[in-house]
Formats: sequence, C-alpha cells, structure tokens
Amino acid sequence: MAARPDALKPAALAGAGRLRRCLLALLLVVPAACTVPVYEPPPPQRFPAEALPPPPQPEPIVVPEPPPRAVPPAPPPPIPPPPPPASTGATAALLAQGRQQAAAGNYPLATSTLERALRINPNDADTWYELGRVKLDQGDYVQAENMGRRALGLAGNDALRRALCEELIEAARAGR
Amino acid sequence: MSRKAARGKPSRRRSRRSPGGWLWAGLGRLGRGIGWLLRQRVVWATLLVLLVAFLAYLAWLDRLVTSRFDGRRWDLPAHVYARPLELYEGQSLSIDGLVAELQRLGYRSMPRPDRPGSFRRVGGRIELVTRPFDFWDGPQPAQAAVVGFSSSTLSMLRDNTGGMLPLLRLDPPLIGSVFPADGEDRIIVEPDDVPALIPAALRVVEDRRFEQHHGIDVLGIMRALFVNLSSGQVRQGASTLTQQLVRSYFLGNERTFRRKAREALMSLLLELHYDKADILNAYLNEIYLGQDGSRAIHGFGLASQFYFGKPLAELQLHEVATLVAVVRGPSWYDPRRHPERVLARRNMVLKLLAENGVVEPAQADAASLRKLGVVLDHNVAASYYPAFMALVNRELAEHYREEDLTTAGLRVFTSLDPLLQANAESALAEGVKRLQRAGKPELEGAVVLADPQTAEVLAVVGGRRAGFEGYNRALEARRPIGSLVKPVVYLAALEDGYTLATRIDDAPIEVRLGRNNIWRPRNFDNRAHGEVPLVRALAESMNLATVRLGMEVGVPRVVEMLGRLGVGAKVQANPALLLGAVDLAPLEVAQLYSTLASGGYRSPLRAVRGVQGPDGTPLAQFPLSTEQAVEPAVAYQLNQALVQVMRRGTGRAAGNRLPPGIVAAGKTGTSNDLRDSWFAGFTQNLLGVVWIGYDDNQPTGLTGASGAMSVWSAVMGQTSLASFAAPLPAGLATISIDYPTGLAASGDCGDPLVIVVPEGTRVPPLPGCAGDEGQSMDLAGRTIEWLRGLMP
Repeated sequence: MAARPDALKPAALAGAGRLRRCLLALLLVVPAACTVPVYEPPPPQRFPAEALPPPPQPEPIVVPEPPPRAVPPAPPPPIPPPPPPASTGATAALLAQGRQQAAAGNYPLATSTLERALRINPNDADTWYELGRVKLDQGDYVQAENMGRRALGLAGNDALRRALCEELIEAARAGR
Repeated sequence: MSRKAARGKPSRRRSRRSPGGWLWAGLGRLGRGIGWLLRQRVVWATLLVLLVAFLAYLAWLDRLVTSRFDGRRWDLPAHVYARPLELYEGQSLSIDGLVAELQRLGYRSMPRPDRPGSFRRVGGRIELVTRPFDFWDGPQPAQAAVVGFSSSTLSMLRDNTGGMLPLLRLDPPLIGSVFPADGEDRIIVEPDDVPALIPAALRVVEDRRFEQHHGIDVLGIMRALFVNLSSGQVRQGASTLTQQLVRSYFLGNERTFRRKAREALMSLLLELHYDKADILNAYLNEIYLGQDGSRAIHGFGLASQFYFGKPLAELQLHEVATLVAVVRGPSWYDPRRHPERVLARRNMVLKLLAENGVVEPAQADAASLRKLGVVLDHNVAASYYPAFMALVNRELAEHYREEDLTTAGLRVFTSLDPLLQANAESALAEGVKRLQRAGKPELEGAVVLADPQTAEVLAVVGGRRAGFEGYNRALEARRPIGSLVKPVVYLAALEDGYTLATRIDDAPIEVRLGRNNIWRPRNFDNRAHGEVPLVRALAESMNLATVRLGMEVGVPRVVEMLGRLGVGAKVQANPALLLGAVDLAPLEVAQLYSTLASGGYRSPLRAVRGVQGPDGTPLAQFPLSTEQAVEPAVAYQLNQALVQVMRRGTGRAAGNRLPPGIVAAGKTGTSNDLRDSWFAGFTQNLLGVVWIGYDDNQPTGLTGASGAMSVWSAVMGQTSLASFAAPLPAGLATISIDYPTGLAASGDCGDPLVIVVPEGTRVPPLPGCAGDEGQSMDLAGRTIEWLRGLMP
C-alpha cells in the first residue's frame, strides 16, 4: 500500500509557513532595523587541543593547558564500564569452535559461530579479534582493520591483547 | 445425476407399448443394422481413428502425469525463521520466558520428556529434549537437558547425565513464507517424518481399499451409488486418495463429467507408474488443508505447523484425527472458525479408527475428551509479522530473484525475536489507544528494535494493527525527526573540540536564510536559559543553544556527520536541519542511533543472517560489517550526554520507568506543530525507536516525551535490559561540573554532575565554590591565556 499523499507531506511545506511568518516578522521590524543592532553570529568557540591561539575572550570557558594534570578526585564516569561477560563458558566454547573452523579454512562457518558468540557477549575483545583474523584470512582487509579497532577499544589495559589487536590492525593495513 | 437416471427409467418403460413381437422385430432390425454397419469400411475407419485419437489422448495424459510427477513436484516457497533461542548459564532469562518460547515452538509438556520437542517444568527447573534441526552452520542433533533458574537468570545448564553444557540452541520458530502469487504454501514431509497413524487414518476415513484398487475403486463406486440411490441423496463419495490427489494436483475443482473421466484416466495412469507409498506421500504433501488470507495451506507438514505449531512427527492422536477431519473440507471444517463442527467430526474419525482396529477403543475415547488444541493463528500466520517480513524481503531482493524465493525451497534465517516483537506490538497498540483523542482520526505509530552492538533488527512494528499487511510506517513513513537530530549536531561539535562542559548561550538567535529571510528559532518553553553547558543544552533539548552551536560548527558539517552515522538519504544543508528538518523513517533513525550506541561504529542494520538451500547447504551469508564513523572518545562523550537526557532532561520520565539502576541513553524528538512524536534510546543490549503521529500529518498535540517515549519505556521495561556500558576511551578524564551553569563544582557545592571530558580540560569554578584546585587551575589557565594574548 502506498502512503497517503499527505502523509508524506514534506517538511518544506511546514517550513514554508514558518518562512512566511518569518518574512512577516521581518517586515514589521524593518523600520526599527536601523537602530536595532543586526545579529551577527558570534565567533566560533572552538577549543581543539592542538589549536593554540584561543579567541580573545574575557571569560575563557575551556583552555587547554600544556602539562595535563590530573583532576583531583576521580569519581566514577556516568557510563559504567562493561560488566564481566554473562557466560564465559558459552563464549569460550563458541570462540574455540570458531577458531577451529577458521583453522580448517571454513571462514563462513567461523564467521557464523563468532557472531553467535558476539550476540551473547558483544563486549568480548577476543571475539572481535577472532572475527578480524577471519576477515584478514579472507582478504577482507578493511573489515579486518575495523574489527581489530573494535577489539582494541574493548581490550582495556591488557598489554598482550592490545599488542595482538595492534598487530592485526597493522597486518590489515599492510594487506590493503 | 443418479437421481435423474432413477426417475428417467420408469417413463421409458411406460413408452413401451407393445412388448413381445415388436421387441423381437426391433432387436432383429438392430442386429441387421449393426451387421451392415460392421461391413462398412468407413465405420471401421472411424472406429480406428477414434481409437487412435483415444490412445493419443491417453499418451498425452500419460506424458502429463509422468513429466509433472517425475521432476520437482512442487514449487517450494522460501521459509523464514526467527532467531533460535540460545541458552547459557548467566543468561538473563526467566523460567516463564523459556516456557513461552517452548510453547511457541509447540513443545509438548509431559511427565517424562523423552522425545524431541517435549519438556517438563519442575519447580524452578525445566527438563527438555530439543528437536534436531538443520541450522545454517550444520545439522544439530536432539539434546536432552536440564535448565535451572534463579529469579530471572538462567543459573544452570546440564545435559541429562549431569554433564556441563556450555550452551544449548533451540530450534528456531517458523515465522513465514515467501509464497508465490497463487498463494500455495507447503512444507514437504518425507515418509520418515510422517507418523504411521496418519496414512492409517486416511485409509480408514477416505479410502478403505487404497491398497487394493488401481486408482479408481469400482466396488467403492458401486457401494456409494447404492447408498446414494437408496437414501435419495449424495451421502458417500467414492473418490480414492489417488483421485483426490489427481484432482488437486492436475485438475481444478470443477465437477463436470469430462473432468471426472479425465480424473479417472489419470488416476489409473498414476497408479500404473508409481507405487502406493509414493502416491500416498504425494497426497500428504499436496492436499489442501486450510487458508490463511491469501496463503493456501497445502500438505500435512505445513498444516501441522499452521494448526498445532509443531512438526508433523510430534502430533498426538487427537491432533492427527483433527487434520484427517479437515481433509474433507478445510473451509467447512475450519478448526479456528468452526471448532464444534470440527470437534464432532474429529470424534467421528476417532470412533472409526477404533472400529477398524487402528487404535485401541480406550485410546480413542481418551483422545475424544481432549480439546482441539489448535494454536492461535497469530503464532503461525504468514501475515503475522508483515512489517518485519517486508524488511526481510527487501534484503533478500538484493540477492535473489523473486522466482528463486517462491519456488526453490530456500530457508531464510533472520534475527526476529518473537518475544520482543510481541512486547513492541502490544506496547504500541496500548500506547496509541491511550493517547488517542476523541474525534480525531486513528493515531498511528511504528517501532523498530535492534541490537545496537551486532546491528541486528529484532522487531519491527509497522502500525497499530501489527498483524495486518498495509502501510509499513517503520520502513516507509519518512517524517521530520525534530530534536532526534540534535545529538548529531553535538557530535560534530565534540569532534571539533568542544566538550560537554563548554558553555553555550541559549539566547535568542537569528539566522539569515536569504536576503530578506531571517529565521528566529524559539525554545519549546519560549524561554532563554542563558549560558549553559552543552550537556545541559542537549539533555533539555534547548533549541536556541543548539542552533547557535550548529551555526558555529556549520550546517554542512552536520550534514556530513549524518552521512557518516549511516543516513543514506540526501539531506539539505539548511539551517532548519539543526532542529530536525530532515525526513527519516524509523528504521533509518535506528541506523543512525545504532552507530551512536555502538560507540561510533557504523554497522548496516540487518534482518537476515543467512540463507540455506533445500538440502541444507549454506548459501548466502549476511555477515556483520563495521566501520568507525567517529572516534570512540567522541562518541563516548556524546553518549554520556544522552544518558543525562534520561536522568535530568526530557527523557527523565522514561528513565524513571525503567528498572532501577539501569543506565539508558536516549533522545526525544518533536516536529513542528507537534505533528510527529519521536523517541530513540538504547541500553547495552537493546535500541528502540518509536514514532507516533497521524498518517495525514495532522498535529498530534504530543511531544516526543508525552507520546513516543511512553511507548518506548513500555517496550523496554518489559525486557531484561543490560545497562548501557562502554569502556572509558584513552585520553578522557572525569570532572565535576555544576549542571545548570557548566562551571566547576565539587562536593556539596552547586548541583554537581560528573562528566567525562578530554584530559587537560579546565573549567572555571562556580562563583562561591571553595577556592580549591579548580580555582587555581583556572587562574593558571587565564594567566596563560593572558600571556598568549600578548604574543604577536
């Protein structure tokens, strides 16, 4: 069934009404326009870390400071860190199966198995890493790198895992 | 016809005026005439021609019968499955949730579960035997297992000998078919899949001499003729199973003499070429057994799913008898529409079975006391998930021709979660009913649920009447998204170096659109809030601050960011975009928000996991793909503002309705004149997008918070949610700010809010707050800035 024509009435029409109203408002304020200061967009308030010269403002809102110093107390962030996996058993079993399938060269099956693991625990760095390895073996270097990045993001402070992920990303880049 | 003949005879008898000599003379004349005829070559030639013609006709029929019966006998629609439920220890699943799934799958509750598809609930445990199933990744045998629960967590999973089971996958529910225009749908069963009871019952009820006759049952016809003649009405038919098969398979339902003759000839030919077992199996797969909208239910395999929600092999006596009862006339004996009628005929079938020694009389009596046991049709009807199926079809159409889908017997595995789908449907239906205003047209809506981490679509509701095909608003209704666009503006800003503590002026602003065209956006409450931190401006959905911010980062940047987050539609770089003048369908919004929820990784949403050939070979796979759209650190900062929407902003009410302690992120959206009410939000495991509005685009009087958000929280609240979580990316640090002003606050000073900002960010202190570290750092910052200002 097709949409009723007016159901898809574009926002442009609504916008047109607003536009008309704006124009009307404009006509009303025109006589006063010479005395009322015309709005000018304020200078951009950007503070990229690398851009050193900040805009001349009396009250800087955020100023990057060369030697980064820790903010005194470190309260917990508003977004909690990922919890430990619900089942290490299920994920581990699938991960082992996926590795086996990948070793046997059956990449579609390995992908399918690793995605099952991911559904159970999407925060598992190892699963993302294994998926990336499978993509690498399949010659899909773009996905290999992307999966490697996701794995790296979840690897936390585990040096070995981080190194493996970085190695995967490097290999994927080299393959491109 | 027989009655006419019966009446016709006496009248001819009356016309015989002079029996005796006249008759003999007549007969003699006839004999001489025949003799003369037989001496004429022309007649012989004619007879010969007729014979040849008949033989040719027979040969043609024979060709027809064998050619259509030898090859692939049926066009097989693709069958579509929901996700299989995976069980594992630690899973958040209640015992009732598992029982509901087993019932949906037609598992039979029995005291000692000892066969595939059976289970028992004992206290907080479930013993079950799963069904064998050919999954995409290979066949999986039946598995006996014990599942234990404590509160709403699956706490124990063992096989029946007490050994560890890391995980257990149930068979997936069948949710639909991609059937062809003629609507014939079937599931092919092999002789091994058919309980012996079914052929036995069919023989007793439909064709007692099936094993003896050669396609037509002469004795049976005579008996039927006798019964019909003596009762003066058509009481008995004499169609054999073979004839019924021929009629259904080769011929229509037309009842002319020619058709009858052809049916008889074809039946004889069929019997000549094929053995009884083959014919019986064809019958079981061919016969028409019900109607589901435009879908015709053919064969016992599909009928078993359609009426009882389980495979044929698992049917019990009373269920078999019901199907055999339906054979006689699927619309007259429709178990859902005429249960009493079907019950009576079923019990007659059971009686016949007992009389003929197929089952023990005691068994038949016990079965007669059972209810029909027909499942609600919405569990099995092809049209039950039309909105989700539309998405499946859309994805399949990219890889398969329609012909392949309707004929090749493919099996399609999808990510639909039937439980979530049911929750979403009821939440939307109840929501729009509650929000409906008298004298207005019917309020409509749509819901899309997805797993934000794996990018799988879990449920799609296309309107308040979810079971009906029609306008699929989830995929097709492109509406202005209002404030749902704001996170994109803030994301662009965060990427450009703003932080959530950056203060922005929520004050009247004018935007020059053209030479004589100035746009003056307003806040929803018509108030200006002054200098506020970005986190508050987004949480409270402030229009003036957002437009100012958007103009600073630039509208084209926002357009570009929309594209990166996964919006495929062409978007105009108009300043009105900053407040949501972009039309998207709920599914597109889900794509946009899933990129946010996954920490900045864009993964195309998918409904299809894989396609399997009829022989079980894996064909297509639709694997997850992912791409970094924004830096995780940037996405993280934005997401914490979306968390504040739910804690302090426009999503507060929804946040309160979720289970305590659950961290969620979300955003309300309202379009101009309250025409569209939107909410998009997510936890770790579930992303939901809800739209509510009128099909004719009238104002609804609803904001995102008063409309769509209530449906969203109802959907999410019924699900076991995992708090939104993300690892803290490197380079970020927590600070405490005063929520209203964005100035540094600590301890009991101001209205402190902990936020995460790039390391090294310094924030000026709230006046009157303790002159501690924050103050001194701020002085240092100002000094540095002052020094820099002196430099050329």
